Amino acid sequence: MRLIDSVNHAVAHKKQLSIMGHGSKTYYARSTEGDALQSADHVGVIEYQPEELVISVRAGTSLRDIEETLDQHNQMLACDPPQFLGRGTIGGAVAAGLCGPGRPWYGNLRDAVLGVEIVNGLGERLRFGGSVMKNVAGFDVSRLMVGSLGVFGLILSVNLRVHPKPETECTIALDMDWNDAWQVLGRTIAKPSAVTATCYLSGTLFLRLSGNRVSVKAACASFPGAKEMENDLWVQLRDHKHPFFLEREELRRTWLARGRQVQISADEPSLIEWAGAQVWAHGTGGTSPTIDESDCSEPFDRSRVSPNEETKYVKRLRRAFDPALLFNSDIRL
Amino acid sequence: MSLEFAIELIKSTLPRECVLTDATATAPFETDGLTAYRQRPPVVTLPRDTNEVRQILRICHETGVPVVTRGAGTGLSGGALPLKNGVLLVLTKMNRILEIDEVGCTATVQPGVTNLSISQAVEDKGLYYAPDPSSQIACSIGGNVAENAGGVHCLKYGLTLHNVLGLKVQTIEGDELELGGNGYESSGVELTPLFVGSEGMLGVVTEITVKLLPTPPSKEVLLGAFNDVESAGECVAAIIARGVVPAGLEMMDALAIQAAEDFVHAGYPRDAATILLCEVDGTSEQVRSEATLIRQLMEAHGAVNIRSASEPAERDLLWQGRKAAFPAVGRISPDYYCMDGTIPRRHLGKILSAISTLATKHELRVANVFHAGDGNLHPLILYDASDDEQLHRAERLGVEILELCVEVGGTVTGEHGVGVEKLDPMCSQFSTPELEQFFRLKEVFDASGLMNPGKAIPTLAHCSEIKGMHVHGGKLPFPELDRF
Repeated sequence: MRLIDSVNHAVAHKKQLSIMGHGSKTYYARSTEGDALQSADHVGVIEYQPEELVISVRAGTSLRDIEETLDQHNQMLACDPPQFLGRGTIGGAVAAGLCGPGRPWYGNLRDAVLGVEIVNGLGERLRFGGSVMKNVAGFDVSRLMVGSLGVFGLILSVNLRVHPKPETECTIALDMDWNDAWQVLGRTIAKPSAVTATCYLSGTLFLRLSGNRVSVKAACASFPGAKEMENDLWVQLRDHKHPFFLEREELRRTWLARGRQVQISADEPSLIEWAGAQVWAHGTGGTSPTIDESDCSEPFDRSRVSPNEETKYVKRLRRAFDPALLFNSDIRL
Repeated sequence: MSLEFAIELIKSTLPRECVLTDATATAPFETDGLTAYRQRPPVVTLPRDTNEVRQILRICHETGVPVVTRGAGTGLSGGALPLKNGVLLVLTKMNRILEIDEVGCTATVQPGVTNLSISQAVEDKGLYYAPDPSSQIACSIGGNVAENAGGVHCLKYGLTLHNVLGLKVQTIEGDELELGGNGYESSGVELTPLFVGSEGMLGVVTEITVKLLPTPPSKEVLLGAFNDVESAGECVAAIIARGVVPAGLEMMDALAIQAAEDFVHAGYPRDAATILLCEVDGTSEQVRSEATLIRQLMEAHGAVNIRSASEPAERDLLWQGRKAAFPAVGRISPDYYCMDGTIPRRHLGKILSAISTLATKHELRVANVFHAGDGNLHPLILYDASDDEQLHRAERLGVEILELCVEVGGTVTGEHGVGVEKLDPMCSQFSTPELEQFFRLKEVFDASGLMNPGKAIPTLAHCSEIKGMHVHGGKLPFPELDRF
């Protein structure tokens, strides 16, 4: 197998490697040190049993192909990782750990990963987790991989929990000021609801309602005066194809504690997802949107995040997987 | 000597009532829920706050004395079994709910808070904490985090892992780690999953922020009886294939049904080969349409007797037989040994018949209770512990069942943890480099190996012992290891 050979060669010669899938998320994070290790050819569904709600795929498989495979059985990934530029591999999605507007309701990839096979910095092929939902044997290495940006090793394959597609979905738009929207958003978390994604932008609250026909119909009826919209809004938001995201240079995101309402100003537009818990804005930060110390705000482009010293435990963790720091060595966690 | 010195230091640091060394006082701590293993701890510490936890850890670190953390002691795999030369750190005095945020739907609690009391504290706000291990009335949330506890609602609502947002962890080196938080994401690598389910091997969790969910306004429970296990299994697959994710989906076999019915009189059909219990929840429209579909699917798969309940009292009665299954089996046998393997669901029929063959071989009876939705199987092996030979056969049968689970792509433990109990089958599930990777991970947070040593991950020496001393070409496997 070529990928393993490349890693073993690098291990034997202590050569650094930068792991690359489709390259769709290079404006989020990229490694430039060492030889490029191309995982995008390592593709294919290894096993898919729709009635088990589990799919096992090689890391280079594109998210779009996985979507199509699942769609044939009326299923979907149990979360919504972005496909920037319409591209992206599942390995890259796991390494980046990003999620789209459905995050609070569908969870993130960390919630969906059941098992991984990786190659560590010693060139060892290791399997962790499995293909069953309940599994507490050994430390949960598979979920540690989500968001690790490739520094713990090369991901070879991933087992994921999948979900039945909702029978129907509809998108509605409500014109309201931010304070009123905040009240509606609070209810999407604290009360049973059919809402599975939210976005507040320039005085309009967009909601996605999902479920069976009767519950979605009932949910729509509970928002009198709402305008019905196209469902592709959510893919546009997920994949940063929405006009708001066209300006990428100064894109910032802020995470707020659940239940904390961000203050927004009219002259500095922001896009608010996740029932109010994720705020996108443009600008170099500090003032837009109004943040306080408890919020975490940083440029989306990780190379612009002022480099924090990794804690001693994170440093040791990297060495525990990759003693010679061969994988994506220039990436700071 | 170091242990005695450590005890002296602890006594001089903590108030008198927080340190137990007297044999009568420490005796209740000699075992957890896995009572076949017992070890009286030389010292039991009961810290009242994080600062006292940190002081105990500092003393252990300085004196090189190992420490075992314990919550309510309801664990089923011996994870909190004391060490004869170690300190037992019991967190039950740290039992305060620190903050409830009903807008953000989170609760921040100390580790000694019981699972059920979180839900009780937020009931009036229309919220609850989803994971519900059967010991939820007694088990502590700290123990739930250590074991990544499950329950009957995991298929829809996930394990402890999916419901924990943030942790405060004390390391043996004296650092406090703040992992996750009370948002959905945070910057940098997320270490929370590594600590959830780590069985006290990496650090001591002193604060936990959990996610609260809105209480579903409507619920319905359906019970279907089947003449054979395969039909019930196919019915489960059909329910999921039709896009329904039930809140609970449980199966019981004939022996478990009869034991439960004799015990609680829930009205289970005593002559059924299998029953399927299915709970759906959500808005009333959703529940009505899903329950109708499930009833149709049960009928289509040959269910002979279908009951449904939507009122709380009726629902509870249907659940009661399932929830009382373990004690019910306890009434028909002097002892039982509860297994916890998980399998891909499609192998259910094959596994159940293989278990029955193995049971006959070992001349033991097995009752099967099964979280059918997520593939987590709890075979209960009936035996008499006063007969050493029977105990040995029961343990042997247990290991063979778990090896079977691994063979079909499953795991040796779905929700009870490895502890001391499943060290042997862990050797079948993981390769040598994988076990070595686990130990390197442990060293990251516990370089001196003092946190719950000997649990959860078998040493290479242990695995080579149980696999037998196969000598190849005059060389023992792992020649670098000491053998005794």
